Amino acid sequence: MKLYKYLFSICIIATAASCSEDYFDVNGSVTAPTTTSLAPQYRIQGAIENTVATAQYRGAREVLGITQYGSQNVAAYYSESWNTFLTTGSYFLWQNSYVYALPNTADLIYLGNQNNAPNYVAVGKILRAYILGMTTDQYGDIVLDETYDSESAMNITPKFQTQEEVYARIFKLLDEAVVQLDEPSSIGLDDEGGDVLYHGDQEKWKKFAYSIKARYLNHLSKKTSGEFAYDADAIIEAAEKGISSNDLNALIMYGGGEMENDNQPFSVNGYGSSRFDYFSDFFVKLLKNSLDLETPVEDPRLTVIVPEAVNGGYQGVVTGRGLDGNPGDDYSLGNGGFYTMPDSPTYMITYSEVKFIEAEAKFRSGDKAGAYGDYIMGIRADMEKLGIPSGEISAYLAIVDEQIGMDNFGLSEIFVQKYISNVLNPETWVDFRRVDYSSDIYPGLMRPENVNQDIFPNENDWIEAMMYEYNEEDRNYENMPNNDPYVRLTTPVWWDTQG
Amino acid sequence: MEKRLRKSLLFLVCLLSFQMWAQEREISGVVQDKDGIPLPGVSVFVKDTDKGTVTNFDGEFNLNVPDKTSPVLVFSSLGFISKEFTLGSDNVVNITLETDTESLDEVVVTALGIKREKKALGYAVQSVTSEKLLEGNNTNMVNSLQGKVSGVTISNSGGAPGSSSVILIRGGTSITGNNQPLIVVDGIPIDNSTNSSLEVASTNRASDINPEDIESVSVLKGPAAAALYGIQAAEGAVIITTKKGKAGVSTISYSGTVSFDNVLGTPDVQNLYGQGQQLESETGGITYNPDSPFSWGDRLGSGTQTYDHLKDFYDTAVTYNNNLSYSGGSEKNQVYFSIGDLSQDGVVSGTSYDKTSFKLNTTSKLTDKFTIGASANYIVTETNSTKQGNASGSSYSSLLAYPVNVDINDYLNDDGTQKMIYPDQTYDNPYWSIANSPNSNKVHRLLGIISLSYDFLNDFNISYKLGTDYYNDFSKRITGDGSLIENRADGYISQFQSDHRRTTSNFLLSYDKDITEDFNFSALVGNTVEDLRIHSIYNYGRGFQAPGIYSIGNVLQSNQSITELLTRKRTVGVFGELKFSWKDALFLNATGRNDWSSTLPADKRSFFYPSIGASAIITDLFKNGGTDITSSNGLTYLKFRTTWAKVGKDAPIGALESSLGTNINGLASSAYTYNGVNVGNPNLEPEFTDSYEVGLDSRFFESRLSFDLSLYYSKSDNQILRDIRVPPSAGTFYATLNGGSIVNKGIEALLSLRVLPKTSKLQWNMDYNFGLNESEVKDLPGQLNEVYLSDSWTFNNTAAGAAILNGSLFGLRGKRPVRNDNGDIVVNASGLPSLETTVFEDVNRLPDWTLGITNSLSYQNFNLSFLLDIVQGNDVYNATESALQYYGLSAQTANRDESIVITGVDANGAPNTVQVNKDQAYYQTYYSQNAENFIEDGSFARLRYVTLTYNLPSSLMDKLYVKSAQLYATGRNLLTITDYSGVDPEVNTYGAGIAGAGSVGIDNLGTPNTKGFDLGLRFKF
Repeated sequence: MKLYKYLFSICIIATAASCSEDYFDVNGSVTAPTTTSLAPQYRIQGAIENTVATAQYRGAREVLGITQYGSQNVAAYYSESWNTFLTTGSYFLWQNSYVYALPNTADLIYLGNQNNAPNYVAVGKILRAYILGMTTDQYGDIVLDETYDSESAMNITPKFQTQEEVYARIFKLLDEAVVQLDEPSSIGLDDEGGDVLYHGDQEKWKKFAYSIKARYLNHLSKKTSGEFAYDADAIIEAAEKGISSNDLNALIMYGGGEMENDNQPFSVNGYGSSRFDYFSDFFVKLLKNSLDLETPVEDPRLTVIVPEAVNGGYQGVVTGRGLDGNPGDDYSLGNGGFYTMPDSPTYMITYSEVKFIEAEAKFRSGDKAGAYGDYIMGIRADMEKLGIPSGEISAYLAIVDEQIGMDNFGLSEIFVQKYISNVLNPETWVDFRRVDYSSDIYPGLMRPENVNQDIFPNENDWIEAMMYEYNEEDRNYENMPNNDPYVRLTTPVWWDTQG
Repeated sequence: MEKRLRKSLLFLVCLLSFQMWAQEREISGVVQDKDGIPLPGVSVFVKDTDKGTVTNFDGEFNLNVPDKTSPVLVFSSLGFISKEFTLGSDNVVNITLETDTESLDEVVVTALGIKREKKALGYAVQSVTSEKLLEGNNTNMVNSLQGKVSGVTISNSGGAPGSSSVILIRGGTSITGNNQPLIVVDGIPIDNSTNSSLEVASTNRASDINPEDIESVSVLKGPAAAALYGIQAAEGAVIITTKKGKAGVSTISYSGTVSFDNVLGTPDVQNLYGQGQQLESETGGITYNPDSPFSWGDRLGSGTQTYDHLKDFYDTAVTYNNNLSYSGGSEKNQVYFSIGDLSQDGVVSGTSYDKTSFKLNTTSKLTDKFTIGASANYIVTETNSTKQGNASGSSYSSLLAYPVNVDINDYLNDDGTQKMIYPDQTYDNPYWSIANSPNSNKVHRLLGIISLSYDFLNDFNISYKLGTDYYNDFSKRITGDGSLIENRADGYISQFQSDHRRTTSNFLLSYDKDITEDFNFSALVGNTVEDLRIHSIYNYGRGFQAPGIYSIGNVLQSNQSITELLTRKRTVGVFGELKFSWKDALFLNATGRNDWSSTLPADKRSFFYPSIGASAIITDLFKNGGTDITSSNGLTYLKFRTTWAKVGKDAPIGALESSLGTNINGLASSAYTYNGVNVGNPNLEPEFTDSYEVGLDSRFFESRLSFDLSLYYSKSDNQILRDIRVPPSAGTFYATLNGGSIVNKGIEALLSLRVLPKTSKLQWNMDYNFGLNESEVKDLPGQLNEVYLSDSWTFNNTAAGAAILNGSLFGLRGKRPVRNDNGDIVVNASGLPSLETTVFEDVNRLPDWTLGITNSLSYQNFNLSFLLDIVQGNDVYNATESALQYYGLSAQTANRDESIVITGVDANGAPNTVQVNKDQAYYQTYYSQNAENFIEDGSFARLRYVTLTYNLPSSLMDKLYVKSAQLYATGRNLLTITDYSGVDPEVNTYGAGIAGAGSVGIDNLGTPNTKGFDLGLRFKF
């Protein structure tokens, strides 16, 4: 008996500790919030900022050698010579989109649904569409559904989907978002001060969504048939509902303070300060005669965007040539201008771009007058954004009316002005490809010097897409389309093909 | 001084023992074995008192006994049958002790501190005694097992003070998790982790244990041996038993050693070419730009002074090691107390390792049935290091960037700033770093255990142990202001403070009964609860406001960053064991354990794993059956054993959820965002390892020769793989998921031989410890064909340790030339191949087999022991050489005026004919980056130590009132035979902090291992 009593009491003691489930609830983090535990009003700031600061920055930085806003001080810098080093390993827009930017949007959507806040779902969808758009424009076919979505188990070999499917998804996300922004919500977008874009004004978010829609519909300028044939009316409609003044420009601000991430990446203390050594010869020359007139008329934006060279004057470095032995002080540095001061914002999409999109759509549909009107509004908006005195604006526009006017006005004028207003935006590369890098459209546009002759042997060979980053190829090669540089870099993406 | 010391110690002894100052008489005598050989170390005490002594080297003893009627003397010694002798009137007592042939009832300590008869075990266990452990004078107790246990590979990570050692039993089964065994001290597991050892040499925590405090070590190999210990012992367990006081004997021991160490060597450098880099001029000739860290400059004129910076960097290190211990007690109370102090100067000036340890161990028998014990071990370690490997500020890579014609000691300008050897220099002079960029680490550790044991109802016993392993770890790494490193001109501080507490509670109820005369049954039921809590705070600061004040408080607030991490884990285990034995010759053993772990999701938290083992003493079975197959000229003992065991493993802490971060890089938002790195997996499941083992233990020639053999096979499935590289489109770079399968198989053998008979004046014993292991990766999840550890990337990222699918767990991946489908190297128009990063299927960094041969000879008062360790079949990746070639310092680059046509084909398949010069571009863009050039066979034979010991004669001892004294001299790592072209094939630069496939066999800019001499003195009184 004594034996059993002993055994019994021992068993009780032994199992006592293992009973309570709470006892084991020590695995969670108490020092950091988790992806599913932090309410969406605390996540929105990070989602907005990383969209631009990580993904868009990466999408702009390496293509500087393509968009030719800037040039490096050494010849044949890898991004300017379009060689395989740029393209196989270092091109990190891919990872920044999938790892640093898109997951925040997935979490916003998930948390918005969990917390009965459709406005957050909408914001997540808008940002997601923005990032997917940027990514597919540079890579073509990308991973769409099988990436992180806050809920599903991780898929370590996600499938790639076509660019056409991605575009369909972009429009779907934007259309749904606009509807959801009108639905009632239990949490305001700016309840924790996190809406650094529009401070809780959901109407402005809708305009932002429509602007993105207009931009992406406008990419389809080569498409003539099927569901995605170029639809000028749809573009105009979206643009009309889009950003309507400079106050509504979508941008993120920098304070210029001590922390590296508080500085415009392309400014002197920014993360990418060494990536934008000088303004390019092409851009500076363009601004010296932005209307492409016989007698050059200097664009008033030149001295605002481009810093004066130390040795005086405004001069850019030819992309791909490097300094070539000449003193750096002869050239205009990349950092220090309107877009590259420590507290310069990074623009996502602006009023002037929306106007230029609308101008292009109207022009393509034959409404030259309407196009011209939007074109002028776009120029004015951009100059006002840069703080050009209204006297100079009027003077410039007067010259436009005089020397160009509605009769001589065409796509070239629109594209050039759009180029000037979209400094450092990866959207420029889309425009270049849509007009096949034509120097009729962009006067003086040439391939960078020292372009890789193996892959681009002919004068008219231009880079059409980016290679997938090696981390992806390493681990997901079976699902990945052909990543041979000779194919990837020279094959146009879906919207860049006629039909 | 000595007298005073002894007096006060005597006083201490008096306090702790219960002396009766009655009338006394002096008894003396000699104790011998049945062959007339005197027996030293035999315990002689008066029965039922605490009065006792120990026989000296000649078997003699002197003892004062109370002059009462017929006192009884007890003579006992391990391996002999105890004898009692009632004193008569004679004061001289000569005793003969009989060998205890039942010493085959050798007892080993198994899991949970349970003592088991070795013959009853179905699995392989190997014990190492204290004397054997201390041979070789290794201050890191893990290293002292090198070569002494079959199947165990121990790799020291380098010669810097406080370097870690990795211990691997039977290879490894875990691709990304921990492959090291559990270390248990007196029944309580202790932490043997190593902080990340990438930047500085970091020690494994088991090295805190003072080897002088260790009584014996049992190595339980494989899951079978540790099935009772659960999850943490899936890779085996090293069971340490520390010294306890002995009844009846009070001893004070002192040992002191002084050691001198030098690095084994440094690589050869060329001294023909000096500072500069090559520029190709338009005409095709070469001009030199002298402003460069490289040694690709012009040929040096004869008579130019050249230096060997690597060789000059290392000094002789001196180490002092002192230990004082007291051991004593009566039959009821025993106590052991020790103080140890190790003070080690590094081979690099400014580096050091100091360890002070206090230990107290007490046991009390309160009643016949109830015993209580308490022990405490307090250890303080302090390490000062230089940065190593690829870390910025690494002394080794800075040394490479000083060409041979540059005076490295002239590093200061007149104004006190650092002199640059070329404009734009972005690394610090290594001597400047020693003076201005200190790295220090201090650990305070307390290991405390309370244990209770109670026998009741004749056959039952309850025992309970509660232990804690608590340590505080503070580490501070400074880059001084005035540094030339990018972004560090105003200095940089990185420090962390960590509180680590592990509490274990072990409860055991055991039952042992002879059911019939032939059958014995015993059962065990137990419960273990473990609670782990680690609290760390990391501080980083950039830019010291006031120069020279290296504190986080001296950094502008906006340049400071703080991270806090709190991780906890709780596991509860319930286990049971049943043992049946028949006639003490046939044994059957079954265990079962169920664990609950906090690291797994609630529905998968509980998992069960069993084991079954059997052993048969063949010789006894035959004896019982009537035939005696033993003979004094043949077989003495033969046992067969076999075990099947399954062990489960849980997940790493916090792997179930993804946490958010702020400021994840210099671009990202300061608000909370998805981190991209700490991505969790809420669906993790436990992983299991199945293992099978068969073996035999045999003895021949009356145990003069013993031979143990084990064969094992284990398979580990559904592993929890941590930090698996996944494609970024999955949403992260690293994921934790289940998958992968590893198969481990091998052979272990131990042959022990007493070469000369016992009667010979010269005694010679040999031990051969042999191990052969293959760890192969059979399966990996997804499309992965390798799992590599970014922490083990070598210089210029040419290679990294990785687990290779269908290859070794300890494999390699790296850059190699692109080959076409025929296997020909494709050479491009410039005459050089392009390099791609891929796996090396046949590289195995762990040895194919190892053999440790220990010899011990003794003649009269002298003893000579040496250990020859033979390690064969391990590949080493010599990244240090690739760095030397990159910089143009390597002796091999002296051939830079030669030219070569690389064997291969051009883009069209035609044989390559383009001649290339072996110039800077050749080496830097191709040759030094091609990992194939640096994979070498690291097989070696090394004389780990040679020790000559002299026991001072007893006549001298008696005069000094000393029980025993020894002088010894040891030479360590004196001789190495190897084809490896680097300094030391036994290399693991990144240390024990890298889990999984680890970084054993990667030689990457670390401090080389050392060879040295020790002189020591040991005495007892």
